[in-house]
Amino acid sequence: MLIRIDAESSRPLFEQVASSVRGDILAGRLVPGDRLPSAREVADALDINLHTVLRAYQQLRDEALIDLRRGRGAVVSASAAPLAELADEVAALVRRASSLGISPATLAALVTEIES
Amino acid sequence: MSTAAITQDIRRARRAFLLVGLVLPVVLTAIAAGFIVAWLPDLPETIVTHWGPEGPNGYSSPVLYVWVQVLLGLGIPLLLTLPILILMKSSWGVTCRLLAAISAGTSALLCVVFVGSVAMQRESISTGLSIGAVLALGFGALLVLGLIGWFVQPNVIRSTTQASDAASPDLRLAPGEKVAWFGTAAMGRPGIISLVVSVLILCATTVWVFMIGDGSWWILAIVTLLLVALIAVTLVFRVRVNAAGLRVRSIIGWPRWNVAASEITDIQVVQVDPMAEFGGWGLRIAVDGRMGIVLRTGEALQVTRSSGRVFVVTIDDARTAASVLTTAMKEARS
Repeated sequence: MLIRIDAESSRPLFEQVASSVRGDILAGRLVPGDRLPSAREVADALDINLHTVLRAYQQLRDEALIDLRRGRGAVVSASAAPLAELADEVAALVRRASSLGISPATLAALVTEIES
Repeated sequence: MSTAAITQDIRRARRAFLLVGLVLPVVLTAIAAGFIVAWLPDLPETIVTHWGPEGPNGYSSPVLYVWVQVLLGLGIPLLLTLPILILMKSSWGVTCRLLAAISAGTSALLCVVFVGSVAMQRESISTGLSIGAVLALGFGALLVLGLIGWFVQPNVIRSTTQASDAASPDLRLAPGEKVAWFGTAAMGRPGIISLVVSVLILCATTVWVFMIGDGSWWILAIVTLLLVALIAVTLVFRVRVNAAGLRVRSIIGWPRWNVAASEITDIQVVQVDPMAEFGGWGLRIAVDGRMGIVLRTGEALQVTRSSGRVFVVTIDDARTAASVLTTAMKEARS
């Protein structure tokens, strides 16, 4: 599992941690049943606040990508599997958008628009 | 070296292994059993089968010697050689050579001790042998046959280990950007099978020694417990790579290794063959001095320290781990 954060980015840190985990699931580096390192471990490795990681994990749980269980820690949930299936199509869409001059941010906004 | 040449080398090594480790012990066992059977009419109804510190303390029918000679004489070489013959088809290592030599040596020891202890109890002739002399002869035979068995085998080390061609992708971190990689090294199936088999053999031996009433059973019991404990702490390791370097830790928390990014001189993704290079699975030191946590065949992260020592750990997605570690190494140097 690869986690990247940029302290100078305008995106909140917890967003960046959550997005890294999402990226790992998308790339197939994490599959349902895989155990995530403990929040303390991640916070320690990146030298960030424990609550930042906990908040990221909570967001991932709200998205039903991971299960948080007392004693077992964070585990990639079964409902995360479809994400990896979509990976290729999402990548293709992002490529197509960028060839048309549409930035990923605009694309993301468009997707949210359709949702609502 | 071409694939054909490698296959030919392994075939040559396997043939020598088979001759030394299995054919020779079977021939020795047949000769020894032949002698004992031939002497049966020349032996008393019951003969000594066990000697204690104060002299003979176990008696039985001479036929027992024939059975034990045949069972142990065939069983031990089979146990030592069959797993290698089945598992090692495309790679070969020094462990295989050693196992065949041990098989030949142990077989020689058994044959000399059994034939010797029967010979000294024949009624028609007096050999003047004592059990001590027989044991000394036995260990001499173990040494001689073991050494011969070792040297007649070719020194073939062929493994599938190779560095991956593609270099690890650069992560191109922006200033202020931080990265960490987490992974797990877990024991693969062949490793688990080999460990379970060795534990079962040890347990069975302990029970057997206990049942025949030998007072030394507790030594075996302690060895068995130690082995089980050692296996338990080396089944699964958590691996972490960040700006500080590489950290590998058993899920129990111990043992653990820290390799600081600043003391790393080289990072590679390699393909590891545990049996051929490390002589088995688990926490190992290879013939070439590399230390490794080798739990399965395949992809592994290999780091060289500034002291020259090499550390290997088998993990999935070693490429990504290597790029994170390479970034940390460059960062630590600048």
